[in-house]
Amino acid sequence: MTRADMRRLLIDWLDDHYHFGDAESKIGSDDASFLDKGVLDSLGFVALVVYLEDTFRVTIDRRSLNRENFDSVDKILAYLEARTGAVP
Amino acid sequence: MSLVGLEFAFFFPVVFLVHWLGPRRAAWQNAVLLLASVAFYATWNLKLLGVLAAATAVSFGAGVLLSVLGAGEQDPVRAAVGQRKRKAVLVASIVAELGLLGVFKYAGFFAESFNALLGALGMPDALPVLRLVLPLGISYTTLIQVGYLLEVYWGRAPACRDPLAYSVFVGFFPQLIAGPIVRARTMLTQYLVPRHLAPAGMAAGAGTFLLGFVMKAFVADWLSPRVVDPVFADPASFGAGALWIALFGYATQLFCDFAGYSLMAIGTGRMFGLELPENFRYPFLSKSLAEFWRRWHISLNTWLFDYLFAPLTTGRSWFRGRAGAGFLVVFLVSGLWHGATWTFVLWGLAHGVALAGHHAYDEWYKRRCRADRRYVAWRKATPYLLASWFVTQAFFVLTLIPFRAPSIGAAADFAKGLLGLGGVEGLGQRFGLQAAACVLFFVGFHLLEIGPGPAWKARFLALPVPVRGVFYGLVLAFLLVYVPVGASTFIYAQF
Amino acid sequence: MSAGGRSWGPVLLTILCALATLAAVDAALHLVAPPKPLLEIDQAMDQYAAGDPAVLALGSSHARSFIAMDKALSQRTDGARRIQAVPVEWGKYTPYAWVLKHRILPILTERNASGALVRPSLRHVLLVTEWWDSTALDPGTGSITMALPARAWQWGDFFADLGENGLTPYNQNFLQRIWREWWSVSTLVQDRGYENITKGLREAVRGKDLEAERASYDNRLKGWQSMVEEGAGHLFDPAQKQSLEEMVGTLQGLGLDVTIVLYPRMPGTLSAKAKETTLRQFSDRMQAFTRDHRLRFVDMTFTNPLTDDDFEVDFDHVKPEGNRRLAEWALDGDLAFLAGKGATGGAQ
Repeated sequence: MTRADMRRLLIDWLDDHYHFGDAESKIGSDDASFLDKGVLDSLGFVALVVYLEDTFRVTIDRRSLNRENFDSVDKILAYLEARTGAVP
Repeated sequence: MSLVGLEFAFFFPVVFLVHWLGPRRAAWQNAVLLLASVAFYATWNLKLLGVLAAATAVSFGAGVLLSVLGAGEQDPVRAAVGQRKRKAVLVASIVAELGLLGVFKYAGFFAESFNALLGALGMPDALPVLRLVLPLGISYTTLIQVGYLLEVYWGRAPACRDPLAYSVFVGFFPQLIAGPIVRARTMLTQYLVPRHLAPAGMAAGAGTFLLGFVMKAFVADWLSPRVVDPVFADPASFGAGALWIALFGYATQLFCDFAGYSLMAIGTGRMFGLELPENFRYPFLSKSLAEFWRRWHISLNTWLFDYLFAPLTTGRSWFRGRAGAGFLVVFLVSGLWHGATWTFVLWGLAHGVALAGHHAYDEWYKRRCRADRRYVAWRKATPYLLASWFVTQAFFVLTLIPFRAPSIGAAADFAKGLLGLGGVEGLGQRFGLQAAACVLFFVGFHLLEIGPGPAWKARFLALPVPVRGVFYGLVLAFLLVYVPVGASTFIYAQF
Repeated sequence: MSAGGRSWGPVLLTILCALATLAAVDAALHLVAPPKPLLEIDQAMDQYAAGDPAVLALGSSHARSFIAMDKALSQRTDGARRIQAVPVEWGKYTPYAWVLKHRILPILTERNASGALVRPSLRHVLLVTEWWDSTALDPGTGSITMALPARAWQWGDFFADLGENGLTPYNQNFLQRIWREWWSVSTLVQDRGYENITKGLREAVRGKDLEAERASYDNRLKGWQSMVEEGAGHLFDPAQKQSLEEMVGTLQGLGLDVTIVLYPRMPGTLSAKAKETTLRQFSDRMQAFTRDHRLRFVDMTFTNPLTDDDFEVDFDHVKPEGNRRLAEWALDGDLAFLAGKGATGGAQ
């Protein structure tokens, strides 16, 4: 799976569950903070973790399970790439 | 001693001067704060200081062990053994910390409840009912230490090797009675470096302290004996109008008491160059229950979220992905944390069920949004937002009945009374200048956060310094005239 | 709130302006509710240490009436005989005994290098009392929270109690007293608990509410009368009686002449029942006590020159003019011996 594929899946999930077509405009840029932009609240973060584990077949260890690691598109994709060996 | 008592006016200047006039070294500053915290604790109960000291020693030692066991081990077999040992240390230390809390706070409740169950079955009491004096702040210090142990175990925070810094991290006197519950990653690091007294920090600290003092010592302490306590003590003697006023009064009192004390703690911390975490963020502006619990007692609810809800709903157990079930568990725990009585359990259950219900509604609404984008716009429309706000606040206020009532029966009587007849007889004569000031403050405090409020705040802060100084002087004069004389105990200090 | 930025100037200026405003408000409120400084134990002990009185008047706040009597006695004796009033706020014999032992005796028995008493003039001790003093310290709640010897304590006493009991409402009173002493010039601080400022401001804006005042007076009177009547069932608590006997024993052991003085009561506040029960019983029992212990007994409960107008709004204390008349009347009568006529003994 390429980085672009992962990004598409992520944006689609955000659209389906939180922003209903407005996810891209809400996020702004891939390095923007989800917390600062109000993209995901704490419940959304937990749901995101479950989604990422189930969809990309990774296990997010407790050490990594904090918002700072998943607070932007870039950070999420970097984490997934490191865990799945995905092609950038 | 409490931050709002006259004794603090003697205590604080001494600690402040010794702290800042001494060497600008973390060890000195931590030693002063630790000594001050010991003295602060001792004014409540010197004999139980040993309990806090022992608990702190256990968690400190466990933290060091967790960082040493299996560290840097390359051999996979040895690494696995190290990991098993780490887990054992974690479990043992958390069991010890929670066990201490359990014995002091819950043993009597569980024994009493078990005996009552046996009694209902016609059997005699089986368990002795222990009623131990609760060590000050044990509910808070236990969570601080358990959170620290989990963070170290998970590798999210390094273990602290400085017992002085660690002891102040656990027992810093402003947070001792009623939090905020601090975290290793944001708080412990501050104690490892020397602090500096900056003008901005001092100004922010003093201002925050003053705001908290107005909330706690004026608003909360005025409402409590005049409006809330008399009605809740004997609701049958008051009309429905008085009961409603007392209920709203209690919501205001609870908020101002707790948020006020938190602000005083934060302000005190700032005057020592320390930044304690925010604990309240205008919860009465919340438009959903989930939002409410992100704004009320933030340090407790983020703790429960990070260390209970998140691991539960992202783990491999049945709870994975089941947020509703997660809410039930978290709020049952929250209810019990607040107090070892069935009224608190009922309160927690009510909020757990409501959050689970709201989550289900949310999921249903999102399905509608996917099918029809108009639902997205409706949710952002003013009528929907107002209705959400009203339902959220009404639910919170109504669930304060079991929270405040001494028993489930008394809660039921109070609730029945709300639907009855009668006006505000018995309370009417209490409403004068001070009541008006309380209401004005409460409303104004929230208005400053919405609409043109932030602009007004900015304009005030842009006023010339002497003008602001005169304002603060008038506030102090008002407080000296109207702040009730005499001791008052924090609602949240009993937890 | 206000950010101090990088400089201390604005912060300090803000604090200065706030304090200046507070001082200005305080000064303005002085016109509405001027603080009335009252003699407390510390000042009394300072006065005692600086002087050499012939008479000590030990009692509750009622002992402050003997400040006027001191002036009158001094005039009558050209300054030869002085009275030192020692008021132990809130009364009761156990607190008096504590004050006697820990504050008075060290001064009373102080000797110079040659072994002579530094203050040899003391001849008489007046124990100024009323029925309330003989009732238990604890009002039945299991805790003592009123002003008591915390008012007479020094820092060492406070820290000793703090170490033993932690901070309690009882020893917090000491800090409240110290705070009031440090800010004795401040109306805002002195008025806390009395609400004269709010009352004065209300009256300044709306005028006196005579109806409300009357209703409040009647209410308070009812409460006062009940309290006095109920006192009959609580007289001479064993612990208080023991303290009284210890005090008398100590003072007589020093060769001093002891007089029990029953303080005047406001006539209009005494119901027939109170007169016949509480006050009569207390007077009779105290008279018997003084007989048994060979003490003087002066009962001013009903026999005194005072009328209702001579008493303060609290029904309990006497106004300055009343104190002056009481002093002249007493020194002309039952307390004439204080001037040196018929006096005996002295501290040894």
